[in-house]
Amino acid sequence: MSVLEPLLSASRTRARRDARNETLPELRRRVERMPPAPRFEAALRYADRLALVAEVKRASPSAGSFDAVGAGADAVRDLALRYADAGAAALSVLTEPTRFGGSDRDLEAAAPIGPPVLRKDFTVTPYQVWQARALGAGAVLLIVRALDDVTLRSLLATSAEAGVDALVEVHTAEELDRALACDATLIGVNARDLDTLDVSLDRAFELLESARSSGATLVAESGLATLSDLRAAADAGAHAVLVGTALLHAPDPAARVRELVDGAPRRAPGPVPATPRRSMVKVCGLRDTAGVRAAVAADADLAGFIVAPSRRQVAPEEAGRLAQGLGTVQPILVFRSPSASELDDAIGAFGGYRTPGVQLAGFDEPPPWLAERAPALPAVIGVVHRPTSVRSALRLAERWYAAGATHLLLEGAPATDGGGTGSAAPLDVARRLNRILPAGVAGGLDPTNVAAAVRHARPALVDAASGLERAGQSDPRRIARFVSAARTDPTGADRVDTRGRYGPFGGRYVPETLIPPLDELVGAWTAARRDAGYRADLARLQRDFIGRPTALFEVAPTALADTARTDVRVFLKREDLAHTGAHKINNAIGQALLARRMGKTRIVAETGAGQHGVATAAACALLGLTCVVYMGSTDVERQAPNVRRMHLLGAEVRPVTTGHGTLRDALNEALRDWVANVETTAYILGSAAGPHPYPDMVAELQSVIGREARAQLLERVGRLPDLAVASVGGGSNAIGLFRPFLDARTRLLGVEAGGRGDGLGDNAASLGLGSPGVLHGAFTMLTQTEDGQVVEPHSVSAGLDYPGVGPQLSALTAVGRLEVARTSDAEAVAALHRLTRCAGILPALEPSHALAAVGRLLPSLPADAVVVVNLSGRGDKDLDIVDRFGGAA
Amino acid sequence: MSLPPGARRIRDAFASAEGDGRRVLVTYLMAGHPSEEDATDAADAALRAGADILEIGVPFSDPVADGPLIAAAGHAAVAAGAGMATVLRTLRELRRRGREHPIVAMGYLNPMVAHGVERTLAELRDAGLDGLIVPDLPAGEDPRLERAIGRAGLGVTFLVTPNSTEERLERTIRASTAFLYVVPLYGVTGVRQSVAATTGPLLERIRSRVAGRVPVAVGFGVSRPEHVRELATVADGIIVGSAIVAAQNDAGAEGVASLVTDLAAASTLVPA
Repeated sequence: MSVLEPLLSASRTRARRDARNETLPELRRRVERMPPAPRFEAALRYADRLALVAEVKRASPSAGSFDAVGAGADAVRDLALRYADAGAAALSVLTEPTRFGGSDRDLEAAAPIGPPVLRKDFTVTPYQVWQARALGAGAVLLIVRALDDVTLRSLLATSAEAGVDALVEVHTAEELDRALACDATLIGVNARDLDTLDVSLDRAFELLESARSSGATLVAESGLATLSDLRAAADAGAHAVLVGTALLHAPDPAARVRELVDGAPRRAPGPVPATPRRSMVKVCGLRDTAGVRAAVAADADLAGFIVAPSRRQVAPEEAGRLAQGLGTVQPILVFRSPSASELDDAIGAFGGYRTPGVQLAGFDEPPPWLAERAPALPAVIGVVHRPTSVRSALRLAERWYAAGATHLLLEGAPATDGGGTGSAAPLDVARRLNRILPAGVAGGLDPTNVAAAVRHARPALVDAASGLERAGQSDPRRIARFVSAARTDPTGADRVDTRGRYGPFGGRYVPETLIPPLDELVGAWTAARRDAGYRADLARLQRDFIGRPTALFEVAPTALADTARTDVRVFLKREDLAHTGAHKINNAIGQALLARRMGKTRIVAETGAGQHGVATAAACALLGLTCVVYMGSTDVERQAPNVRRMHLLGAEVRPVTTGHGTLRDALNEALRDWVANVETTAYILGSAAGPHPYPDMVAELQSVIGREARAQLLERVGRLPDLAVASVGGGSNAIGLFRPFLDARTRLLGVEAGGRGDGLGDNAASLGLGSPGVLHGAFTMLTQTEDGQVVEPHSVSAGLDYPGVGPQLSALTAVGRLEVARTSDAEAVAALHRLTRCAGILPALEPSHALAAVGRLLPSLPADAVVVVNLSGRGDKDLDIVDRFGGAA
Repeated sequence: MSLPPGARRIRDAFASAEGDGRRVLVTYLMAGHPSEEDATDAADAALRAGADILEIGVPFSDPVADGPLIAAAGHAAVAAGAGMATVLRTLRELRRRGREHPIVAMGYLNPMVAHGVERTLAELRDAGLDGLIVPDLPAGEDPRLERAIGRAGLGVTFLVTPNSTEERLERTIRASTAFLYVVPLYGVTGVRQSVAATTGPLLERIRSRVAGRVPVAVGFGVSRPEHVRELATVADGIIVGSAIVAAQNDAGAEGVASLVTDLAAASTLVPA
């Protein structure tokens, strides 16, 4: 009997057993929230030498067991780490348990190290492909001999869907033909016959030679031990070699990796641009001022003017005139099979205001004259029409990039077509191609389908023209919705799902008693935000009680730091001018109105610095609600003026002495009160933290900050900011500013309290220095010990010393949308003094952390950068602390 | 449905008590409070004095479901450096001393997440734990975690409260493999003067829904023998927490033994 058969049947049994613990739909849901898998094939194809895939296994049927790998996943991690340090381009980890001594835990241990990892196992069901992805693999192994054509195709399709590469392994010419017929791009040629276990390198090299012209990425597997083997493999056309046994039999496996990597034949792969973290958006077919304004307001990356014959054709002169209103949006002239002189003439006619990028449609391959022109152009988009296979698209894409293209667009329409025929974008090809190099899509995209297209294909660029029009005219609303939808985060970090989560973060980890009131709150909030009456009440109170919109005030960069950067424009969003002196009132009013609608008569709230307590007390006084505020006893002392204000407003302040007597203890106590009095009482949580729906509700009520800032900046500077900055404690002022900019190109920076240093308990930097955990009902980042005890944070600012953070900020940080910085106590106090003296504005200590961070960043900002900072509150409450700090310094 | 072995042992304790004409008495103590040795001795004493099941608290810095007594015990234990490792050692020591009663851990989610959920569950099981109560994990919130508990061979107990809807009640009953924990009042753990008047009707409603699928125990606010006697007519088990911790605070293991003796006597059904 062959070696293979029992391994396949054991593999099937394992998959069935695993699917009982986590069903396929559950597994898929989990995978869909994960960031993209590491790119295995790209790492091999674009390495600067023959790439080495170093394999970790405990045993094999041909070689017996290896002493080099000890028991437990830690041993695998250690070896994988040493392989990575020694220069392995990728790793292969055996997870097969019966003959190879592997385990899924081994893969999990190796995946985070860095190089993409192949899950080496006998993949026979779609479940295992999703599982590989969930475990962190960049690729799965599909053995052609073990699979019929239908299964092979289906597993390749599943790999594409799951977003992992598939290494399709062949041993004979027939198997190679089958692999190529299934449009495999990554092919492993195994020198070992899986039935007899015999190895023949010569046969393998012959097979590689014959696969060479296919354009696939080729990996030589098995039996390779020496540098001369590697050279022979490279000569036969291999991009990579997979070496396992030869390493594990070496006295020092990692040193052997280093020797092989150092001696591996060099290659010169063509240039391939980096893949953007999220899709770039091109708004095409613009031909009037309204369209240009809409592209700017939506903050598109690229704006296309079609100079080729088309229903949307504009003259290059007119395009040049319109483009003057584009701000930082890059204009693109769209051509169809132009000659070199046609291109030059159009660019000349566009005018000297700025150089346009170009999009070249209608070519079968890049025109020969492109290479000399491309370097002078800010963007070159090569169009591949109606790709028939992934391998052919890959070959063309590489030619375009070699000729100097900066972007690639896969079009549904054929090259002969004038475009705009509505041919659907080739999403399936794009999905697989985007695992290897960046590729965009065009064809039939509009605001309603673009988010799904992005989720499906993760394209580097999306492009639409007809989908953005209404009755033949650019439609600003469609443009806005298209850009926003195209930038939807595929992992769900930008919007809450029905289970109250942002990707993996959030949820409702609360005692059972709170589930019914939270359900009630979800229902009431969902109804209220759609209710015209509630919205009108809220809008009126925002305007007349809070004093919105708050001002957007420009200060000189020198108000933040000693700097020569007078070109940078810094705008402060003046939440300090909101009633009661901080942004907290935006939320308190919204929730108090909601509580009244729900028939609640009593309000409980927690407060740290006292700002949320004061805001809630004010809202309750206005709306006739009884108000109880829990405040840590330490905070009662250090924020005495706010305690007096709450008393005057009729609130009862209950000092909390349990725990450390700070904000989190106040929150615990307020939750306990709510648990005991759920029928009459509403809990007004002050930060975008806690169990669902609080993070979403608070963020939505605070988003008025960002919405106003976005509109005000567009009016004042004609474009959106390069950078938006806010301090982060629990994160309500930050998410309030950031949320309306999530679908823009604006960099988002959250500034945490760096306190007196990076040690545990010396700061409140849960995003920057914490780890994931569960506190106050949400899975989020926490400052905690290794034992899972939440550590009392430290900050000079009472409003920032919270050990957790809102779950959405955790999610945005995890996917890289939010950047995080820290400002120390001393820097924050200095920033407070500086702004007060230079701009006549006394900021609270919380936003002073953000001001100091902007001051530090000034030298690195782009020319003429526009920055908006959330000045979340005024500093009157902090006078004593600032005085004391000054004395101690 | 096959039950995890830990859930089976816990249910066996309910079955055997019923055979003896008793209700199951579950007594709570915080691991590591006031010291690891003292907590172990107190737990040992409780089991020898007639408790059927031990509920051992896992020290955590932010115990939102607990009232002042247990919260203070937890904070003190954390301050003294206690944590999951303390719980594991206490479990092993109780097993070494020959206590074969079912033991359930009452622990908030975060220390488990910090250690790695699967690893923590395996370590707890290997140290001799039978079941788990996670006060900040409502049934259905995290199905993977629920399955991981079962896969580790541990029973799990979820809580129901007076405001649980029929739908939540049903979900919680289905998810609870060890026993169902009825909290008859709104609020946190703690000593109360009397059993809430609404407890009887609430338990009737729950028991008719449960229909014998899982044992029903009642806790939160139960502190005196007369409470136990009253509840013995409507529940399969009675859980006493804060009162035990108070007795321990007053008179250590002896105080615990004396209270448990009285409570155990009260949990015996008087023949009609």
